[in-house]
Amino acid sequence: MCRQSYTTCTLAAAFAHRHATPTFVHLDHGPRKRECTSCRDTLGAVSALRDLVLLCANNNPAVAIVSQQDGRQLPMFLPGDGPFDYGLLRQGYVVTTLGYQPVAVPDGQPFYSTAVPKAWRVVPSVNPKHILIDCYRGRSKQNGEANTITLLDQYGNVLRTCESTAGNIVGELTSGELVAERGFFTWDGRRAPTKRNTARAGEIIAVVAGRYLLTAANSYAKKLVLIDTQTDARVTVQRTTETGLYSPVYNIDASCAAFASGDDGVLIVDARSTSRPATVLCHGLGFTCYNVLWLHDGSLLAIGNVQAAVIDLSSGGQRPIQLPKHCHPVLDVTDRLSIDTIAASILPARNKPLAAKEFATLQTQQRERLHAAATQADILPTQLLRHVSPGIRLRTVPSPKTPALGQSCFGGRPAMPEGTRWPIKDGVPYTFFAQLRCDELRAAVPQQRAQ
Amino acid sequence: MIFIAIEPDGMHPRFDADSVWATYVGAKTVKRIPFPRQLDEQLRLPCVPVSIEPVWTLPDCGDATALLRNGKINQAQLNALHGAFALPAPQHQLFGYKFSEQGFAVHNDQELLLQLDSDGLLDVMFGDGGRLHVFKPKGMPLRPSLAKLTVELDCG
Repeated sequence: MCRQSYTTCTLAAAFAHRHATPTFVHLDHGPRKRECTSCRDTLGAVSALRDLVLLCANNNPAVAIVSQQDGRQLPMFLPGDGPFDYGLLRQGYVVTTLGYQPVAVPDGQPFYSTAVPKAWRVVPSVNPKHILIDCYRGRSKQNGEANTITLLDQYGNVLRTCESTAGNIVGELTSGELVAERGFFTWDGRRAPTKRNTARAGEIIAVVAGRYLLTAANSYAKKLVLIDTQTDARVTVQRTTETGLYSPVYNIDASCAAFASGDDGVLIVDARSTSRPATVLCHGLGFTCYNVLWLHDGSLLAIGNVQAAVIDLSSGGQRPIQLPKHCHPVLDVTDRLSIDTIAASILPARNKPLAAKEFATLQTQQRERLHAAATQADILPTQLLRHVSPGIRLRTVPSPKTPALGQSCFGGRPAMPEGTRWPIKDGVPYTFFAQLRCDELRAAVPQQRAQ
Repeated sequence: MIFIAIEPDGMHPRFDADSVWATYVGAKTVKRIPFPRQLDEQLRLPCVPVSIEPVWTLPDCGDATALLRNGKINQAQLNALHGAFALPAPQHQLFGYKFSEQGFAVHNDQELLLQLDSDGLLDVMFGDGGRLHVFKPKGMPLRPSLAKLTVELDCG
């Protein structure tokens, strides 16, 4: 083991705790001047990640799905109006929050998302299938106004709800009490007695494993306190800088929380083991960390302005990783959402009439679609064929390019003969909706229709 | 080219004949014309390319009498069929059968000309994620005029 313990690359011992109380270990990789065999081995132990599929903050639409392997970036059209700056991993789904709009996106079904009620804040419940939200009422909160806390499942079903004046919701304890920034309350809305050790420890900023509370005077505080609500044991954490501590990012079962901690790297509260107490770990990165997210294999992705690194919590090792350009990851959805499924739904727009061969192929696809549906419904396809009516699908296609003049399109400024007057009714202009090329329409439908 | 514009009453058009404006122009002599000043910013839809493809449609629950008539298909099978045959939204469409959440029936002497769906790309919502249906009298040729169209809103 390298002897340059807390300043260069102490790695492997971080999680070998034998203490009875929570432990704080400060790791700092810093600029490495000397290599040692042990450290190289530990770095080599950072799991070889498969290709990541990430949900990233994007511009119009707000969410992009990105393949780390080939750099593909595709738009994800999720409900909500605003930036994508928070995500949550849950069992069977992920939650994206666009502005005030949380959306549950089920694993494997990117097109069946559910917009749950709007929220100021979304936090994990003790049950990994549920979320807690602080309901947004469409306006700013007034001083002293109660918060409406609601427990939801992935379909947006309201399971429980209550009002609280204890500040913003932070999480839930396994004992059933809810945790807000300034104290505890129960589902019947009553303030619960303050735990002995949380008094004067500051505001609660994270609840981990339904048991541990991380408290701080404010988000810039150097001093943090981790409290075990079951044993009242506490451990003090001293950060080296006063850089802002960003919101906690939880793993799937909220047994581990990570914070981007600026120049301090990543702050990790780890309570995954039930046989030993939680640990707080400050993992120095050698760059300023602005964002952190959990990866599918349990490792962490720490992101700075230019650099990014994967941190393996089991070994404490760290490995730089190259992210695609303009990629601002918020959630890892590897094994949850397939970028190929989304790519298949975003077929490019045709800007010329269908050729006969292409038309025949599409007709065959429609016939297969009818047969598949009939089989699923236990109906003979021949019973349906005579009821089929051919139509023309006008499939809008996401594209960064404005369609060329005279191309079929929806919206935008219409291309019309010079001098054309905009249609007006009662002094109000109509909304231009579509311009469609007749030759493309004719090519897409059996002849007798487009006359 | 065919141009389609709709009456801009907050995407809740009234059900009269001039709720939808449609016209033909030659495609060769066109240029982009500016939005009129009076047109609200929110009603200036973003420009989105559209791909024109053939599609097969079946009567939806409002027009499924013919499917159920001979008794070979029951309601449960029909529901399963509609679920399996549905295309991903948005379902903008010309001709064929309409798709309606509310399941209203089309008048006997009318047929679907155009179905416009709520569309996130266009930032357009009809009712609560519904559709706008434009019908024409059965058998009416599309040329030379697109008059006598009627409009219905399926609120979703």
